[in-house]
Formats: sequence, structure tokens, C-alpha cells
Amino acid sequence: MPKIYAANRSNVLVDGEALEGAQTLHYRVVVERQDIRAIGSDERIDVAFGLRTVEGELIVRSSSDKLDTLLAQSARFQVVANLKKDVGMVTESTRTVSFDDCFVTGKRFDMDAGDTARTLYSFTATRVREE
Amino acid sequence: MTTAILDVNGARYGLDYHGHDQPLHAWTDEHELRLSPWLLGQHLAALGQTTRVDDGALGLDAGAYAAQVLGPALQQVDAVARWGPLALWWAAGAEPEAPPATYTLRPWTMLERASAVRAALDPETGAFQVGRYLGMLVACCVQRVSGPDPLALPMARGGPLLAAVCRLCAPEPLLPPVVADPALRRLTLRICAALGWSPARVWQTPAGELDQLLALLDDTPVTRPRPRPRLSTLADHRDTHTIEIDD
Repeated sequence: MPKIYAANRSNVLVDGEALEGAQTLHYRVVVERQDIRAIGSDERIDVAFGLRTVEGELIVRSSSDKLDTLLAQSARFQVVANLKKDVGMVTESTRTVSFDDCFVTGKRFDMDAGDTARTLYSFTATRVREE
Repeated sequence: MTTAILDVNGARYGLDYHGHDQPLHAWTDEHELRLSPWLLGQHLAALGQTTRVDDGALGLDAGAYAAQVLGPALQQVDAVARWGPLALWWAAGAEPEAPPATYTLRPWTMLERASAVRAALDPETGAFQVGRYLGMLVACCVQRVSGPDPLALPMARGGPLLAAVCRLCAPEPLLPPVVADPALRRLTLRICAALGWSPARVWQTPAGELDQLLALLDDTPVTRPRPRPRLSTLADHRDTHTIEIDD
């Protein structure tokens, strides 16, 4: 099952600028894996782990000029999601998720149930850090 | 003058009786009483003060109801004991009559019924005002073509009207064959879903016509709306992390 964080009073920063209309951030870590074979055996003898990348998606209502520019220029950027949640009267910062060396790889459009346009920006990142 | 002797469970009264829609003059050996026609509106108001719901069952305090019929001048215990049987006979109406034809009835809507329940139910105490609930039922579902306000009808005619509108708005529960037979349940729901009919309409339709409808439905390919593709392709992966950001 996906791991879902629901947060209010949160924001997403792209190169330090707040991303207006950010709705959802999906991400997963992908690690290449190769089984090591051996002659004379039908069982693997080891596992070699290779490239480790991060795939992400940012869904924005309705679009982001900043991300459009980054896509057009194939430029590198950083994404930081600050997740804050109200606990009673106190706003408590609970989690920061940072994506380093990101590139936008594509985008898609959609209309949601309220007939509002949404744009999904796909990106890859070198690493993700959770603090 | 029509003089009659009335015996209600051993209590005997002399009557000057001209029907339940005319004033009544009654007497015993030592006392006499005059009663005006008991109206549907009075009946509903009296129900509000003399009924209560205990453990899901509706109970009527007959003595208190009889006191309401007798009126404020005869609220003493001995007067109610003396005239109570006569009062209940007077309120009930003499002979069951058909509902007056000068009114049309319709079933109430879900919204109207919910409004009536809301008006009749005290959420703090749980007390349910039956009279108020039935009054809203009459107001919603009895439409006057001619004649007086339904609440101004004597109970001899207002009672059958109230019974008829109650039957219309609170039909019998599902019949055992419908509840017990899975095939009949499936058939009913299939036709309701396909044609937008009510269950009652399905059951009242000639069986041969239903067979024809089912044959048509069997021969018609089902077209389902295509599901909208999800915007995200990552969301379906088991190892995906998702952050929902509220505004």
C-alpha cells in the first residue's frame, strides 16, 4: 500500500520558491538489482544492486510556470516539501522531504471532479532525504 | 329527536344522537353532558398529550385521552370515570366509513417524512410527538378538492381519512416471498436499476410483460462507462510514498 502523509499548513518549495497550487506529491525509490548466476547451479549465488534513482510526480492546480520553464530548459532543481500539521493550538513541524538534483521528465493534464484543471509534472531525482 | 341507549362495557347512557357530526346530548340517572363533534385536529392535538413511545412501542393513555375529549370542564377523576367510556365511543366514530372523496391523497416524499420526524422528535429527551408527526403527514399528503380543512372534519370522517393516508405512506413491509426468494430479489433490483422503476411497480406489472422486459435486457449488451484514467502512474505502486497537501 502507498505510504500516505496528510498534512495541513504545508508547502512545497522548488528551488526555494513556494509552489502555488501544489496538491499531491508522489515518489518512490527505484533500485536496479541483478541476480548473480553461477555455472552448474540453478540458484543465484548473490545479488548485485546497481543504480538508485528517485521517481516523483507533482500534481499542481492548475499549472506551474516555474516547472514548465524547468521542463523546457531541462534544468536541474531541488524540491523541498515541508510537512506541518496542527496539533491543537500548536503548529508542529513533523517532516521535511528533500529531493536533490531533480529534472522534469514530462507532464500531463487532467480535469478533476470539480472541473478544475490539474497538471502532473513527472520528475526524477538523484536522492531523497527525509528529516 | 333521536333517543337511544348506549352501553359501553356496562356503562349505560341515554343519548340524543343525530350522528357524529352533530352535537351530542347524553345523560345518566343523575348527570347529563353535551359534547361537540370531535374533530381530526382535536384528535391529533390530544394524541400529542396522551401518547408516549416506550421501548419502541406506542402507548395511549385512554383515561387522559377521554379527559381531552370531555374538555376542560370535566377533568375531575370522577367525571372522567363516569363519562370516559362515552367519550372514547364519541371520539372513535360510530361506524367505519370510507374516506371522503373530496380529498386526494399522495404518498409523502423522503424529505417530507424526514422533516416530520425532525419536527416531532425532541433530540434531548427522545420524546416523540405523534400528533405533530401525523399532523404534518396530513398537511403534506391530503390535498383538498372541496370541503373543509381536513383537520376540521369530525372524526367519523377524519378518522378514515387519516387511516387511508397512513396506509398510503406506510405500506406493509416487504412480503415474505420477495424477501426470501433470491431470484425474485435479483429480478426486482435488475429491473429497478435498468428502467428506474420502483419495486412496487415491478411487482404490479403483469408477469408476461416482465418476461418480455427481461428478454430485452438479456439481448442488450451492457455498455459501461469507461473509467477515467488516473492522472498519476506512481500512485498504484505499492512502494510509492504519497503526500497530500491541504490548502
